[in-house]
Amino acid sequence: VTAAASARGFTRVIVRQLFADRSALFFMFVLPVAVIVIIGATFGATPSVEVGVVAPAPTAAGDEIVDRLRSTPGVKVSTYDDAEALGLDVRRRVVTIGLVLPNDLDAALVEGTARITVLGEPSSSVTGSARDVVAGVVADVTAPIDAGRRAAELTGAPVGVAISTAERVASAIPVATPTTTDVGDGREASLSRFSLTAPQNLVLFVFINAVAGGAALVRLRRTGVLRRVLAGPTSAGSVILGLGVAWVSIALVQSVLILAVGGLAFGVDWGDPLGAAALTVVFAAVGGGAGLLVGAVGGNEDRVSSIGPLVGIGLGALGGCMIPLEIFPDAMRTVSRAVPHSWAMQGWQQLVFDGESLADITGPLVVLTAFAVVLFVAAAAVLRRSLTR
Amino acid sequence: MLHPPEVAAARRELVGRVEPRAVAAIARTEVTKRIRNRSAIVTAFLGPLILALVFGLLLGGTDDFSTTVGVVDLDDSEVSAPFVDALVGSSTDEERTVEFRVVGSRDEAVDAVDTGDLGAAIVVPAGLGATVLAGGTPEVEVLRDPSRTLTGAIAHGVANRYLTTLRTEAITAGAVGVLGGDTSDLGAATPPADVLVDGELPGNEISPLAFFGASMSILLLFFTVSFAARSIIVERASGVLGRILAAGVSARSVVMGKVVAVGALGLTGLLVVWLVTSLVFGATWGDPVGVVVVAVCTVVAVAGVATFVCGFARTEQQADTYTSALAFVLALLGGNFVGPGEAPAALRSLARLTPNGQALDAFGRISIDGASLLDVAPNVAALLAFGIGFGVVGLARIERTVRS
Repeated sequence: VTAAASARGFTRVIVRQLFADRSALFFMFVLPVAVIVIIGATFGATPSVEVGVVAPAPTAAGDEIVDRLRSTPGVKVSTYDDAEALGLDVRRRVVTIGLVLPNDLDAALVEGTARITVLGEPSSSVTGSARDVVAGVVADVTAPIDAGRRAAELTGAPVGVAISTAERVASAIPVATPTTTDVGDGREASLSRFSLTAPQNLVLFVFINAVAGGAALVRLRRTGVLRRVLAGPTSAGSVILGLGVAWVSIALVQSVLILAVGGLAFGVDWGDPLGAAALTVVFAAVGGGAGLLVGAVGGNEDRVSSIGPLVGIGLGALGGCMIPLEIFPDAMRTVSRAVPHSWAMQGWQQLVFDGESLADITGPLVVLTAFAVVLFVAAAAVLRRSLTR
Repeated sequence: MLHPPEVAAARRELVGRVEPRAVAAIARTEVTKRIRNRSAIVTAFLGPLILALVFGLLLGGTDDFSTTVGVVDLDDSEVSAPFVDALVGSSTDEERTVEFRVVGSRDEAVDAVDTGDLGAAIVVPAGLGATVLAGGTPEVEVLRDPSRTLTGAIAHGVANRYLTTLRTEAITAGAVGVLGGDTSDLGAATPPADVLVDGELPGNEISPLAFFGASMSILLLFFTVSFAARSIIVERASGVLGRILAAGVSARSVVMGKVVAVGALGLTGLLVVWLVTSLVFGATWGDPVGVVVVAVCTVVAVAGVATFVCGFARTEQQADTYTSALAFVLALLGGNFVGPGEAPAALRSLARLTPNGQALDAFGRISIDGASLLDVAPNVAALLAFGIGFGVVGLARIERTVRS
């Protein structure tokens, strides 16, 4: 039996086993898509901001601020009785940001002594944009009053007159917001908000699945199927090659599915097709190699299928599949280079965000190929020993 | 001679009895088995601890976050210069995690952002000063790397504040003009009021390690407690269960023994993660009494839900499938994966309907608010309701499996 026939045979058997196992299908297709949707909606979305407001007494300016916040798209306002409760909810991130309006806001604005306290958790990634939104609304309401106060000071006009003049002037000066340009070769346009989470989950789940799938190989070994295959005219080399092709094929099928869902349903532009294809194949080989090695070394399929996902989640987290590499501490960024996921993420980042091509991602491709080769050679050595012993 | 209905009644009494000694013996055997084959060690102890450390270390890094934002002043006017000077001046402040650097041209800034030398850049276009002085709408551009959303948001915030300041100045100048004053005197007036001030937050900062310690323990708790149903299915298939029942042990005792065993393993695992993360790594979980009570209720809730779902399984593989699907779906909905409080509002409302969400909320309140047990009583009640509601139905189903 040739290696090609062995590869075909094993692929068929493994695929059939896989489709019979609904848990594997769940991990392969349903979970990745669900995670892309949820995480994409969480981190990629136009920030939806929940503002908590404490307003002990109604004031004209305060009511105006709350009304404007309420009518701002993407902003939800909830009211609190005291600043302490609001602060704790900001801490626990039940609300994104808090505003404490003083009792005497109207008078204080006219005097130039008004202070509105903002409560934000500095370590939260969304505080900055939430503060922007709130600051914009507060400035809209308070700027004319402050301008009128200063104009009265400079011209000697009565404060009331100056403020109403400033309000008239303000209505003629539109509010400007900065324009944002996404930088990358030839990619100065906004990308789909799933552009980061889709590659992250592609890498994460292809690996998790391949490793957890190692349990199937443990079962093949343990039940003696492989030994029986060797009793026929198939060489150990053909069996190992066949298994390798089967594992990589499954990883490829899963990758293609996630690529397709990402592209068609979430509008992710995966970048240069040649680069994307090369990266997909090489990472599928890394996953396949890891799965084969785990299957060759593992002694108990239950343990492999329960530990596999954990190892996959841990390595995925280290490789930037859950938290962007951008916010890793320096030491952890160095550690992440020892994990194939971080090289795959770097490749996808270059393709998706920088619009680079196959030639530009040679570095990650070479490193990933090396990972794949090492994993396959190790798996083949262990398998050969256990099969021919 | 007994009639058939009486036989049935006698059997019911026999299978429904709980014998403490039998429960203890079965629980002991189950715990020993789980520890020997190492499955419980991974799901209850090592798994959550390692995952919590990985996530905790990664997210703990946001405190050390630092970035450089470029500023391109193509206008170089009396309107733009003070802005640029103030930004670059603020970089010398040691507290700042954001440094600002002047860049010569827009192209240079685009290159620097593209190569990662700069996290983002703010471009003040030529003619901005003239536009502002003429009462027009100024434009400022933010260049960002779309994969570095945090830095992009920071640069956007800075640019936004600048535009707000410019607008306030323009309104003041306009009003002074209308009132017949001299607009060149603006500098003589008191400066625009800084209305927004940052306040101090009460409570403790979120401890990523405590959050992920709880969160990963809860995720893996599903796997630990599902061993009860799984083990019953396996022992039924292998005939071990039949032999135990033949020895006169009631079905309920068997089920209780298994549930007590996995519950004890799950609880010990959660408590070990709490002790290790707080004693070794300094994570702040808060009031120990609260932590222990919430941990117990969490185990009860997860055991109830997992037993209910596994009660539908007929084979070992089905039990595995249901457990994995349940664990990951509830973890996704409950917010176990998205970091403390980062979930969108819709997801947060859904989270309250899961034991994961209730448990994380309770652990969060204890850790962050310094809440006492009384403060988290609603969460505790919800967790117990989950556990008892689903558990009773689930146990009844499994008991039926045992008897059949």
